[in-house]
Amino acid sequence: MIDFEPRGAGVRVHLSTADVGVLRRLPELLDTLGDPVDDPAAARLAPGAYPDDPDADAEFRRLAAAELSRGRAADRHELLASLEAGAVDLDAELAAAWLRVINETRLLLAARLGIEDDGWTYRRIGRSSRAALLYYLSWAQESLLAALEPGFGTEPASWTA
Amino acid sequence: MGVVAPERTDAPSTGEDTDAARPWQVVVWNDPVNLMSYVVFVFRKLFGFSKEKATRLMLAVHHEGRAIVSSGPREKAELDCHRLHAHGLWATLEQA
Repeated sequence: MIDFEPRGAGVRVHLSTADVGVLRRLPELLDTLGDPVDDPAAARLAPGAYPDDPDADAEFRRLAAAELSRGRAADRHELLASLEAGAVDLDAELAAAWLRVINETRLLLAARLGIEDDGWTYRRIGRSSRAALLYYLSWAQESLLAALEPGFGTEPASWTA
Repeated sequence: MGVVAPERTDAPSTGEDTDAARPWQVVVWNDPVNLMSYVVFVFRKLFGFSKEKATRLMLAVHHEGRAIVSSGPREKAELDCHRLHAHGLWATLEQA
């Protein structure tokens, strides 16, 4: 099972073959994102900036879209390039890329599962493979953040913000 | 991370002069998925906030539904908004 330990300004990740298999599939899962117009997951990942001004919003989206895609593609590439079974060291920048890909995937899964309010629980979203992957990635993200800076997360009032 | 609008040359506002002088605020909204620890991480990483300030803002988002995390000229606010989006946070802009 994936585990993280503090390592200087970065983290050391311990990955099983199964962990590598799961994480290697995240980019292809993210490739299923459609158009923000009719895919709630894609809309959540490109939320726009001017909800009350359609013209300004369209202009912002137009300018931001390519940059978002470029950054996310680079993150996915870095994640894939760093994956191997055993111990992998991530510096702070690479750890941030991992965090962004994991978070992007969590947002996609939550949208696909119809999670819309703070009251959701893992019991409520059931035992589908999507729910299992969301659970796994949530745990991995929390653990990675904790290892990146010991005591960083303090005591959360609840699981999500 | 790059910039949103390197080629942008048009005037940021078509409103009156007094409108253009008012700063733009970057609002982060509560969402049910982003981890509290991740939101604190992003605030610290993007804005250089102390752990205490980042945590205070994260809790404001969580309990009040939204918080202003940055403000300034329109181009800076748009860039901050974009950087938050690039990290998966839900942010929008409004004029003060």
